[in-house]
Amino acid sequence: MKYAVISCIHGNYEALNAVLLDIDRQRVDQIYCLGDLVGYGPYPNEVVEMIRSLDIPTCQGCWDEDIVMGLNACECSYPSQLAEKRGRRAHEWTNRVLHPEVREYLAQLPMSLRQGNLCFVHGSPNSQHEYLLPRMHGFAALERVLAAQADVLFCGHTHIPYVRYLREGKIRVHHRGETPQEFQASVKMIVNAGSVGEPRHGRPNATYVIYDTDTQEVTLREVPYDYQKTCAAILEQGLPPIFAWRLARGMEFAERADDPHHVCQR
Amino acid sequence: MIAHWAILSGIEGNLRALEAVLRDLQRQRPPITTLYVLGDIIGLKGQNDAVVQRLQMPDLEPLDPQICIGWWEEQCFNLFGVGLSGEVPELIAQQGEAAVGQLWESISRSSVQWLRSLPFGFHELDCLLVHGSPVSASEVLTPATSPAVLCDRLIRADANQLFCGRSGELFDCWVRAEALTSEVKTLDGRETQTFDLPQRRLIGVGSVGRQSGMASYVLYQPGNNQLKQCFVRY
Amino acid sequence: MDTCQVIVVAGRWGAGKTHWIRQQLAAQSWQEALFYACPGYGAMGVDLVRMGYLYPRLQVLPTISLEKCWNTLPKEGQFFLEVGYHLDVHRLQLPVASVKRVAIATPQETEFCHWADEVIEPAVSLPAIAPTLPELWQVELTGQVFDPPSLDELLLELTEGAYGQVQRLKGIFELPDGQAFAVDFCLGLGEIEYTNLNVPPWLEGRPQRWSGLELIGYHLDKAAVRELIADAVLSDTVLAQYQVHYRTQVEAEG
Repeated sequence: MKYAVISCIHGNYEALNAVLLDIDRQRVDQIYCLGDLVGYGPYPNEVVEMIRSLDIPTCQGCWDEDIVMGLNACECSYPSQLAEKRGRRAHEWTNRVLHPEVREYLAQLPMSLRQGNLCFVHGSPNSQHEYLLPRMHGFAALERVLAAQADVLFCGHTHIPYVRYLREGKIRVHHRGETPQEFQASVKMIVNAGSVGEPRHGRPNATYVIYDTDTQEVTLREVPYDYQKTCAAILEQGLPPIFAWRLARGMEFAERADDPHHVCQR
Repeated sequence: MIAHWAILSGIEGNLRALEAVLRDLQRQRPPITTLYVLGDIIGLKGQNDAVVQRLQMPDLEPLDPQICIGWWEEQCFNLFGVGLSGEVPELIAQQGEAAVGQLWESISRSSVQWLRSLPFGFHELDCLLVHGSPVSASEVLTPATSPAVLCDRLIRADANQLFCGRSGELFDCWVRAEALTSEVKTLDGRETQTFDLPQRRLIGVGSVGRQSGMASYVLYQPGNNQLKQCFVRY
Repeated sequence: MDTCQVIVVAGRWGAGKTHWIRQQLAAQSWQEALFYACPGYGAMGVDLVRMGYLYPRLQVLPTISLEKCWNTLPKEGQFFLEVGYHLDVHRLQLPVASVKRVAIATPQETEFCHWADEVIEPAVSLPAIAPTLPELWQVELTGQVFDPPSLDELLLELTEGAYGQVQRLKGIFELPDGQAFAVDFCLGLGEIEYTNLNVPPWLEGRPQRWSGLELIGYHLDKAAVRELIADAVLSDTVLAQYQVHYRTQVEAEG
């Protein structure tokens, strides 16, 4: 089976179309989506309609959750006060334009999806807001895959795609007066699908991944599209112009926790 | 003066148990320099308001009490509408429907307010002291917890010693992890790294009030990492 | 007799005027009194304040006009006068005696070369000069304290051109730990440079010492920059929280 996994579309209809076209050419069997369909971009309703009409299994992202539940992204998940204030403006705008049926759709999205030994989440199995950064401590990353009871964990949220193989970790627990307990994990994988609509890898191109279950091969795809169209629409819709400026440079900053193990204690 | 910590948790409103432990602290040598109370000050074991007041009494000042919240305090905050959620599903699941009314009756608004001012935990020297785990006050850590979870929580704790109280058990265990190879492929390249976690210590501090007639807590000397588990019959 | 030696330093933005003056100061024995002024930037400016912090024994003279400078000209010592890029050197009213004109300029910049007694080639090659002079825009920020990661984003966006073509950026910014930083950027000369000013930490209320931002550039979107600043500075409540935290830290260390 060949899966395409997309994430973090953020109301960027142009980018979504380009990615779907690219997926068509790759002849995949199934598409999965890891959420964040809305927020920042100018076409939240259109993006959701497209995902729905294609019946793409989707889990809920932090933006989808916030739009449904009211803004409750914990403050610590924003990298700066500036990002937070901009995030709020994007939230207010999206909240105003979203159609009721779109909101209902977002509300019923599951937190995770499962297919055999594969698990799909937006941020991490713990929370839609947690970042699984590629440099996170290997044993902490391993714990996330085990928590998902999977061999391959698909996530998004960081907007930079990567694939990470975790091999041969050994943990020993020694309790006073008892025989030590030893644990050895089999090979695990984390696959980050990047971002269709708000890339952060320094180029404006959309990113997503393809996973082949037979060969266990992961392909990171980078798809050019007419981002100027999205930038124009951002300005037209009255969203903060800086979103367009950042989108054109692949330096969207959405939410990003500085500390990969950041613990929300709200 | 040699730093000598007394670390307790789980008073759960049990004033008699607390008094017994405080008396026991008096006779410890070297004298106790800091008293840590890792949450669950209140509960359904007696007099919540009395315990809250006892912990603020001036005779404890020489012990420099450092008090943080626990699972029961979080349930109480939710119940009184000052928590993160307006609901108490965990309270009902673990203590039954009746507990909701009992907890509500057992504590005054002013006590709730005081509890609300307490921190989540303490980072002191190379130790982290919390009620549950670095993730939440509800999480139970024991030596039997999945090794990967223990490893992750100790990484998050960012400390050589993690003291916790949620399980109510006394334990002293070491966790060490090694030789995990991580290979990361991005659009711009490939990187391989090996991860280890040098030996870390996880300490369960027992429970003062949960088990009637028998209180437990620990003493710790940060100077030489010496840990002593203490029992007090009352 | 008037024995004060006046050294007038001119050149385009980013040529290295301040840098050259700092080289001269580094070579000083500080036996005689040394003065510094920077006319054309208002009473206070980033360079003036920064030089004052960097050289505690240098006497910096807040000046609005050149004439005022001459009226308050000290009786002896050396007086470094840095002339803003936007002032016409040929129209400068200079005193007759004891003046040395130094231009930091390339031989192609004939306007400076004709004026100067001494021409020094810039240490770095600057981007080509546009036919029109860029605009100078100053924002005083005294009392404002920045959220550190927001300040990073702000500087990145400004220097990368999100609010107009910024050629040069200078600033002094206050941070919640009570420190003040100087920031320096010149288009085409690489990274943003940060200097800790090593001032006493200000941990009680809003800092009552000068801070500000200076931009030299084309098509600056001032309204957007003002909004950007407003989004990046701390409110009274948040600042107070930070200060409590840092005061406890200082006490614990002290």
